[in-house]
Amino acid sequence: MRRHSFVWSIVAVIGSVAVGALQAAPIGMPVICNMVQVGTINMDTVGGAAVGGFTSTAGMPPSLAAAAAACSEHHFNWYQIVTADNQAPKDRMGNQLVPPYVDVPPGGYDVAFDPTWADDLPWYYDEYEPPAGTKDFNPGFLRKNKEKGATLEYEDAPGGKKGLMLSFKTWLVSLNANGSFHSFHPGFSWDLTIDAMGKREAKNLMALLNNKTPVLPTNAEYQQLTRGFATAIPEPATFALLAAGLAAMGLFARPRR
Amino acid sequence: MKTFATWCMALSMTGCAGGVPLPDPTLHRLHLDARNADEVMHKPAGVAVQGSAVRAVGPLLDSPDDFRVGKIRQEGATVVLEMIHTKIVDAGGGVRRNIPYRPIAEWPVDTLRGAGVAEVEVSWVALRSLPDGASMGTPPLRHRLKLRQAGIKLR
Repeated sequence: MRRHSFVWSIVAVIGSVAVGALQAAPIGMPVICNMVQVGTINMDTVGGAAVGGFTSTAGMPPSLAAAAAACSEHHFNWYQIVTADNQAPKDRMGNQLVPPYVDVPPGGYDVAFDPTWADDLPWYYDEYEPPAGTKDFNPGFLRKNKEKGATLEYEDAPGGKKGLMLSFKTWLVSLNANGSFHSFHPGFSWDLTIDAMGKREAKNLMALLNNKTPVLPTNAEYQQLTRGFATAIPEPATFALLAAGLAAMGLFARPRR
Repeated sequence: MKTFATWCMALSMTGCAGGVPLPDPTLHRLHLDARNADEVMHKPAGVAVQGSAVRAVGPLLDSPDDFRVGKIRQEGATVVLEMIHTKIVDAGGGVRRNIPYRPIAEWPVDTLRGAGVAEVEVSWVALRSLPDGASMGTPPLRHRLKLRQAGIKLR
C-alpha cells in the first residue's frame, strides 16, 4: 500500500510537471546596448492575445527616450512578420500576401478584409498620422499612443475564419527620428489558432534568443523591410553590421566535431 | 434611430415616470493591454453595478468593429437598451494587427434612480454594418440587472 502511494506520488509529480510544461508561460528577455542592459521585453499570452511590451530601465527615472539614447537611437517600435498564414489576405493594393509578410503591409490590408488605415512604414505601430478626416484611421495604433511611461506596449489578437493558423515573429526595433530603420533587438515568436468552435488561442510563445544572443530575421524576413515601404531602408553601416552579425551567428551555429 | 429622450417626449412613455428623461448611456471601450488582459479576454459580458455606475459590458470586439446605441426605451421601471455592433470576423473579414476591446455602456446610478429605473435590460445585436445593416444571424447577448438585488437603494 505504501509502495503504491509512493508510485502515485511520482506519477502525480511527473504529470504536474508535464502539464506545466504544456501551459503557456510568460517570457522575459533583456535588451542590451553597448554591453549595458537598457530594459526588458516581457510577453505573455492570454486567450487569443499576445500582450506585453518593452520596459526601459535606463535613465532616472527610467524612460524610453533614455533607453533609445543609450543605444544611440531615437525611439523604438516593433517589426512583426507573419511567417505562416493559411488564410493569407491581400494587401491594400490587391496583391495576395504570401508569408513571410510584414504585419501591417503598406497602407494596410485589403479594405474588404480589414479597412483599418496603416502608414507606409514596415513597423507594427504607425509612425505618423494620416491627413485629418482619413476614414478608418485608428489612433490606438499610433506608436506614440503605445508609449506608456517607460513602456512601449505590444498587443495583438489576430482573428479570421475558423481553422485559421498563424505564426509570427516579432522584434523590438530601434528607429531613427524619421522612422527609418536603425537596428534589431530581441524578439519573440508565437502562434495563433482558431478552432472549429471559433475559439482563438495564442500559444507557443518563445523568445528569439540563441545562447542569450538575439535571433535576427532570416534574409527573407529581413528583405520584407524594403518591399513596398517608404523611407525604411537601412543605413549602409547598419546593414553591414547586420550582415556581420548574421555571419558570426552562422559560424557559432556550426556543429562542433 | 431615436434616443430615449426623444422617445420619452414623443410618446410620453412611462419612462418619464421618474420625472427626469433618462439620457443615453455613456459609451466607451476597454482596450486590451497587459494590465487588463484577463478582464478583456475572459470576463463574460454582462451588466453590473461598478462603483457609482451601472455598467453593461458587451462581447469581445476587434479593432475595426464599431458599436452604438440601437434602441432604448423605458417600460415602467425597466430600461430596455439594445446595443448594436459589427463583427468583422463573422462578416468574412479578418484582423492581423488587432487590439480587441470590450464595448461598454454605462449610466451613473443616480441618473437611473432619478428616472425611476429599477431594472436594466441590455442586449447586444451583431449587424453587418451600422446603424441599419442586416443582422448577422447570431443570437443577441441579453443581460438583466435588478438594481435592488445589486444593493442599490431605490427612491
